[in-house]
Amino acid sequence: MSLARTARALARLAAQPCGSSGGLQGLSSLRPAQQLVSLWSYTPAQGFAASAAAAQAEPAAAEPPAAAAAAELPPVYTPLGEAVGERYAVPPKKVFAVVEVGGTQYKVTPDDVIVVEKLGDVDVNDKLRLQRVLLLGSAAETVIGRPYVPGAAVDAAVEEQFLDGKVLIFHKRRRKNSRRLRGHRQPLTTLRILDVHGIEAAAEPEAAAAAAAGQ
Amino acid sequence: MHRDKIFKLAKGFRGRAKNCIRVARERVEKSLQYAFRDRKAKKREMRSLWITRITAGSRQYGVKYSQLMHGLKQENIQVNRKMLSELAMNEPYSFKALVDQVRFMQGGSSGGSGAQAAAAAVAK
Repeated sequence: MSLARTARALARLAAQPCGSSGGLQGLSSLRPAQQLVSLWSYTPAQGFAASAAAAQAEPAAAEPPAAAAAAELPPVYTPLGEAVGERYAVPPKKVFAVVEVGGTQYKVTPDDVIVVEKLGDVDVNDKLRLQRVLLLGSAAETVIGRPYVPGAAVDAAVEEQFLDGKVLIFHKRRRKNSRRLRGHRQPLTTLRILDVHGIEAAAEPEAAAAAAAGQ
Repeated sequence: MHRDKIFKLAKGFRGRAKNCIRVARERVEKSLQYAFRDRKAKKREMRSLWITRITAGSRQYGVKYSQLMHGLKQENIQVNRKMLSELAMNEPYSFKALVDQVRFMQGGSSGGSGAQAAAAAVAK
């Protein structure tokens, strides 16, 4: 959808309490935009009841359509400009994030190692902040992004830039005396996850209580 | 030189195919062709496996795979099938959160995409 159409749709939406979804007329009973704000957090112990109650308690603040228009894609990563030391230890944290790098999604937690498509313009020992976070989770809550969670990020250090093992590509046309052999090595980057921002690790007793209540 | 390469690729083959160059060459060529074809097939098979796992996970809660994916698409939740199957296996509460979100949005009232854009813009 074009920028102008999105802006107009959101203007319509902000004007009415129960607006139409952008472009899709004829959807039955719709929810005011404001309530969706607090449906981001789902706590297994309480379900949506807590967030729904919170939504009604808060004064509904109408989003100015200009600010809400055309959510831009966050960059895949931003360089943090620091470098990790020679030997570093990453304290484990009981949170995970689903992060998108190089067109693929990975479920990461601190002190994880992931192999991604080559990232340009990075050197080994650089720190990066991965901005495209789709989902955050801890023992007590899950944060679902649509499609990305704003303000969430994952810190990673570049460990290695290397070429994958050689893959042989072989084509043969039988009985026609034709064959072709080719090798390919894909450039890849190894990242070690340092930290996950945007969610707190649940304290142990709370986690146990939430887990017990969630069952 | 080339012969050595063929034998290196023919390790583990059955019978004369690993020892005699005339047989080995044919078998190795065939194996390379299969490898090319199956690198593409692997992607299809993995996706099919993920879908099976997601179906298993969502049917625990009485939601069919088709309903779940439709709901996620409507919500503009772009977690892909690989991750969904990972969550269904290893993060059951998060998977349940997604399923409940879909059920809530479909059961209560269908969420509007315009409304979600407004919600997404609010800083968490």
